[in-house]
Amino acid sequence: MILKDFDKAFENKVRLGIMSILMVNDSMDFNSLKDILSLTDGNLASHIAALEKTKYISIKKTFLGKKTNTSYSATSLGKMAFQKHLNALENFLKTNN
Amino acid sequence: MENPIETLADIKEMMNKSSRFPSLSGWSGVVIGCLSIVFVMFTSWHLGINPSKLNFNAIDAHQREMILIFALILFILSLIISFLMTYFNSKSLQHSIWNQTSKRLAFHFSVPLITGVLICYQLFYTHFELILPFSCLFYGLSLFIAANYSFPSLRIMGLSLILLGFLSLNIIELQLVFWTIGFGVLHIVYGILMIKSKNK
Repeated sequence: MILKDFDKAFENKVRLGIMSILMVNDSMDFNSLKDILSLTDGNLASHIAALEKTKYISIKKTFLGKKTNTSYSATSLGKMAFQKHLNALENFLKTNN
Repeated sequence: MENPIETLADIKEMMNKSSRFPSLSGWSGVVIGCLSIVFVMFTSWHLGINPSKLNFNAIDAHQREMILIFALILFILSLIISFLMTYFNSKSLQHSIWNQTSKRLAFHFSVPLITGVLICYQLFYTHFELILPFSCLFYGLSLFIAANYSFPSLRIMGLSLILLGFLSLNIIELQLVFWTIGFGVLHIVYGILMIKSKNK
């Protein structure tokens, strides 16, 4: 098994989910992410923090009246890493079937 | 490391789920289709029009106004029905109805639709015979675009309506037949297809 191309950041299912969503949507707010992935606030926040640390996603805060609205986007670094991870998965399937 | 096949399937599911609104109700398609057919039958009967031999010179101003009123009732009723049925459908599927995907769907669907409605309203006074083809064309465009944000198979329904629109531009006496196929039959067929694809 060629493991060197698999990205550690995407080993976790939730992080993989967040990145999949941000690959096809320009941006997504916290509550929508929570809704789609069926997670609790705390759980989602910790995974977002991890992805932010690797600079795979960026955070944008805007004000809607008095409420803050936080939305997330994949950075170009994150998109590249995700694509690489996808390619590695596909290659792994090809060589093992 | 999890099974890569499952991982890839998860990725695809997340991509679809986050970019497409799943709760559009197939039943609303069936109901709107039936209403459209009833509308055509009632209007033709009420005004004494032969649907398979449409002659616009025989329709006077008063009759045109009646048609406009019936069509507005049908349009508003259809919007209310599709909204309500989608609302209850998303509740039963436990999705929220007003999220990013539904907002995007509503926005992209309504731009060509409202353009079409405004154009048809303008044509009412100048080119009455173009209203039916243009309503097919613009509704077809709306569906074609909406397919990107909901069920991909709506694309085929959109293209079919555009085709019917062009046909009725060229074969004027059969306009009402093409319109009934587009707004009646296609709604029912696609409604049933959507219900079936969800039950799988």
